[in-house]
Amino acid sequence: MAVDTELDVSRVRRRAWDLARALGASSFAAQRVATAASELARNIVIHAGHGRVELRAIGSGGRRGMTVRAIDSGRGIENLERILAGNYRSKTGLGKGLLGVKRMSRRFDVQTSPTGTTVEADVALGLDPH
Amino acid sequence: MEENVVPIIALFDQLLVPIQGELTDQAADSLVARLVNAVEGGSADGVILELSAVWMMDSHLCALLARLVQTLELMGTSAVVTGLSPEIVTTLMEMGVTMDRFTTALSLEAALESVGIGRLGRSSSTPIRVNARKNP
Repeated sequence: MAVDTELDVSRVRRRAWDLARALGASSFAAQRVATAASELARNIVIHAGHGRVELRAIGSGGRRGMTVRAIDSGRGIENLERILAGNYRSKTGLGKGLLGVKRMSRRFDVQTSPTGTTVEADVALGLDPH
Repeated sequence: MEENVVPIIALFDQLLVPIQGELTDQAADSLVARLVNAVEGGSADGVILELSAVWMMDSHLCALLARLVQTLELMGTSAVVTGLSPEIVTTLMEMGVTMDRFTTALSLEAALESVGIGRLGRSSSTPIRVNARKNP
């Protein structure tokens, strides 16, 4: 899904919620996925201007999950280590979203460079702790 | 046509603000401006932000809400947030997004009771819970 505007962020989170529910996720798990998708899409709009978000079902049974993949060609994330260590405080509250997604995820990976960023987060849908 | 205009309802000495659906940045800016005007020009002692029709809140929306509450408090007006769904609260907790900047109430009824608005002769069987904001 292309992400350019706040409206796209809204579409992405609604789609993430619908997909999670279609996969049998509880409302709590669907909320987790929708929020992760919203955070990553929002970061694209705020920091990169445009990019895309992909949603994919993974695993099976108690290990069911969804991968949220956010790709942009912006200038990359400065202070990534400090953000993910929870040591980064900004007046705008930026960085909280990324750290929040990391905390919610079973697997979390960020590749960032001055030519772009890809964030991948696997969010659990099953009842198992992640 | 202007979209997403959040109503501001005068209720005794309070302003009741039911936020529905998704609060866009633009709608949030407009709401802050209108609430500041309403508080400045009126006799409202407090504002109740009712969020039971909000299905999702990420850290950005949470920050918008915190800014709104802070603005109201700087103007000397109390602000109570009510109606957050268990899904929203659980997810924000899991993300480590704290809501200790807000005074929250479990229900609209609890929020009203917290500012002294209640039903006469009401039985005391239903507990009213309000979590006061922690001082930073």
